[in-house]
Amino acid sequence: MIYIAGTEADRQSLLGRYPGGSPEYEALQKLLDSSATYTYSSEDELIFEINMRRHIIDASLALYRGRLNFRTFKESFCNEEYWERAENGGFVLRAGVEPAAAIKDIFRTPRRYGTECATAIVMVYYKAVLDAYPEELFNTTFTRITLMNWQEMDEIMGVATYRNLADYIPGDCRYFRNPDVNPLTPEWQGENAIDLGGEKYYGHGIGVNNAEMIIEALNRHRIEGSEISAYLMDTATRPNFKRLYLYLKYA
Amino acid sequence: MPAGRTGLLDNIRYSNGPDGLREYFGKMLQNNRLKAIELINDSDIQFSTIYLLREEISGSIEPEALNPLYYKALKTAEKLQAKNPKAVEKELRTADDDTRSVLKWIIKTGNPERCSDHDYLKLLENAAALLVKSFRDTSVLPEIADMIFSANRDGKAVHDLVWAFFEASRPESLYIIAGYLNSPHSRDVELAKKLLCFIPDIENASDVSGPALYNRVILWLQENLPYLYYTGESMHLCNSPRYYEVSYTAKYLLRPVSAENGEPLSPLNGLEKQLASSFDMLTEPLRRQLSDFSQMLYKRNPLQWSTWIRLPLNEQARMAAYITGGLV
Repeated sequence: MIYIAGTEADRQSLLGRYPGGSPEYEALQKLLDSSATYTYSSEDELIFEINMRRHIIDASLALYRGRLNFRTFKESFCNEEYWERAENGGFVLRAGVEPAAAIKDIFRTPRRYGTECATAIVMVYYKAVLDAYPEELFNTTFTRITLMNWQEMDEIMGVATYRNLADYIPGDCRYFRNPDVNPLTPEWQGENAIDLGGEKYYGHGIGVNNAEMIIEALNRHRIEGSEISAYLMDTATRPNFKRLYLYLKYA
Repeated sequence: MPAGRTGLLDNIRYSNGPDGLREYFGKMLQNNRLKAIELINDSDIQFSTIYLLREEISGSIEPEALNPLYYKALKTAEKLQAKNPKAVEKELRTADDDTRSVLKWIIKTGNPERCSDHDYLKLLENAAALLVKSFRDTSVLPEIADMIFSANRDGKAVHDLVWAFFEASRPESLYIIAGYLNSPHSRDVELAKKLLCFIPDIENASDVSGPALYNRVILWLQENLPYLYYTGESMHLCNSPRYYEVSYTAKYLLRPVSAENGEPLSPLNGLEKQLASSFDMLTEPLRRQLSDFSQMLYKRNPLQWSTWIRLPLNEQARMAAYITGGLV
């Protein structure tokens, strides 16, 4: 159920904004049909979140199609023209480089970058915000970007992980855990995957698949003889859409 | 130089660095081979030194002249750095009993301090994860914690070591992490707080620090340890993983749980099952508060507790509120 400024949202007018079968339509439908209550200060705020979710999905597909390389932190690499590779394997925005240009470079030349799945999701989040914000605002807001799994993310982004939610919505980052992973391949301990809608997920290193296929891929990297399967955890990681909206509105 | 006993070659490594060590040992091999073999077989030598000299050893010393532990450690290191992890894991897991001791020796004397060789650090991570996950050996957790905090001080990635540490599913190991709250290094304290962030109020504890914060955490652990279970969260999943959760139901019933899955260690009786199913329908804040009260009441007066736990839930909550002055 959706409440906008204290009033229950008009289902038809909201759904009418998007074509049936689109991720935006699916996201709205889940929010509208939920037994939980979702509150927004205005329709603009709700639409901002729905569009951000779409940008997250589009950025995920762009990384997938651009064939971003999969590397562990120890083997990570980046385009040194825009980013400096840190000792811990993360990428730090070079001094004097425009943040928007550096993020765009990842999506223009993904083959020049190699990292693991959580950092790929962080790249996706920055690209999604870049698509939602005017470029100038993005450049003045995110002046110091570090791409290193979930560490050191910008506070304005407000990325947080929620547990045991009533609903999981397209654009969420879900986590497939592989409890019996071969200890010599910790990079397969789990997979961060963006919910693309239509029961598909994008996981960097695994590609676009349904949940069963992702679980199957993880299971191939278990201790030999293990009968404990990988599984989808009851968690979702999301940027703080409300905060990002307010920042855009009042900037 | 780390605490503990070291051999002469270790001391040369600390004072002259890796290249100085290799040069010294190379000359010794040429001029006095027997002395070189004696030094490399020193019972106090560390794996990190043996590893640095692996090429000199394999080129000039016959396997039978080398302490069997050291020889096997080098062979194990080669396997851990090989590119077929599936076969290696199985081979090491199913090999003779010595493998576990060899891996433990590697971890206990591996000492990666000031080491920037990524392959070597990866080797130690692999050895740690193998011991914890494949051998279910948790005796090296203090050493793994030491590696985590040392690497973190150097700005290196620690997520794989942290993952190996927590995969042990041993709530007692949280005392090791808590010990770093007393560290003089601010990076240690920050990391310890982050790893223990499932403990209420610890991350934003600006009112207390050092021993006071440590004591607060120890008290919390003492009260909650039997009811903690591993969630499987990791730094791979999010920025602030909650590695453990308290089973409020278990704490309310005073029934310890398995740290691996949160299930009671022994089956609940009929009354307990009934209580648990009603309790589980309460809101989370109420469950937390009632479980705290149950624990507190039992400590004060077990007889009063056994009367209280048989009351209807609303009566229990009312009595708890009355006794704690409205806190419940």
